[in-house]
Amino acid sequence: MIDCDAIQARMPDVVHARTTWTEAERTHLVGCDSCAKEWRLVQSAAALFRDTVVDIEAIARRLRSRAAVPVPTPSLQRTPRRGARLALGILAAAASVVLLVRVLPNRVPVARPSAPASAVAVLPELDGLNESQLEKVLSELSVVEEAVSPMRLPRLGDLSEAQLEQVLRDLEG
Amino acid sequence: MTVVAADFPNDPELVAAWRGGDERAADQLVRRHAPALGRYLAAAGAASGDLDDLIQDTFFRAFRGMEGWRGEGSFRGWLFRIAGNLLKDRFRAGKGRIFLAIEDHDLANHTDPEAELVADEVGQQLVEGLTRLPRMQREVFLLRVQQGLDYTEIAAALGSSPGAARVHYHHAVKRLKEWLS
Repeated sequence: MIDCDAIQARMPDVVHARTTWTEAERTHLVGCDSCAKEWRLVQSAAALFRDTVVDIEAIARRLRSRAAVPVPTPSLQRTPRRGARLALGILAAAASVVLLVRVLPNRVPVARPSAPASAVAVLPELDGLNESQLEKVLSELSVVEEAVSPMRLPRLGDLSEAQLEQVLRDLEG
Repeated sequence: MTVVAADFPNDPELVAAWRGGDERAADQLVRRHAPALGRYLAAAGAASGDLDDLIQDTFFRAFRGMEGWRGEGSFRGWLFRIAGNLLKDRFRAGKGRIFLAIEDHDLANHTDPEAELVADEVGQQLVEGLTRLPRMQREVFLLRVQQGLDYTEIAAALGSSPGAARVHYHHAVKRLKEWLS
């Protein structure tokens, strides 16, 4: 019994004449569609661009002339572009720090009270409300505003050690 | 002291001779490996007009960074790695070709009429199929089938593992067979 996987694994070696097919394998290659197709593929790929013309003399000559030019050591190269990259990197780092400091208080996880359902529900329909209804909505909105006001958010100094660690974990993702 | 390359030295001996100041060793390395590099680059999608430049750049980088080759894997495999990276840079710069133009003489081994016939039938489709493979699959397939490297050499050339190279090869063959159906 011929194993297709084994035959297919040997194809590159056979096509490069490192080994040969046995008679049984030859027979199998004729009768097995999958192996026959893969053998055609391997034969064709092995012959691909076989006659590619390369000007070896010209390549060797140009290499000799290029090799004659000393190549500066990369670590000694100090180009304006490299300096600009360094400055950009420092600026980016500074901007990240500033952003972090500004964003940090807003990233404190706080359980925000949800707005009363009635206040949210009437907002799209304000035009149709009479004065007393609008008063009622306004009074409910002021309650919500007070509840979610950033002024009530705790500062970092107010947080416990465990909460601070949670903040750090959140920031670090 | 100048180290001189022997009459038929192997690659490590030639590299050692070149390091020792023998320029002829570099010439020998170019003569030995440039044709294979040309075939590989052409099949991997290099434009025919760029081949000489790519090969020259490959050797230039190889000679300039010879210290980076410590003899693990074959020297030719290392050249393939450099050439593949150069070609990738060309593709990124938009200088590679997306669909390979192929000539009749590119396909067949003229010493074997049967192989020539088979290659001509499949070759054009194969070339197009190669352009549709992911880069690693294409390179592994070409190194295995066109260049005849084993998986250990391929792994060293592409900075992968033999097992991963084997998987890439099987995926490539599967896709190409489907493409040729």
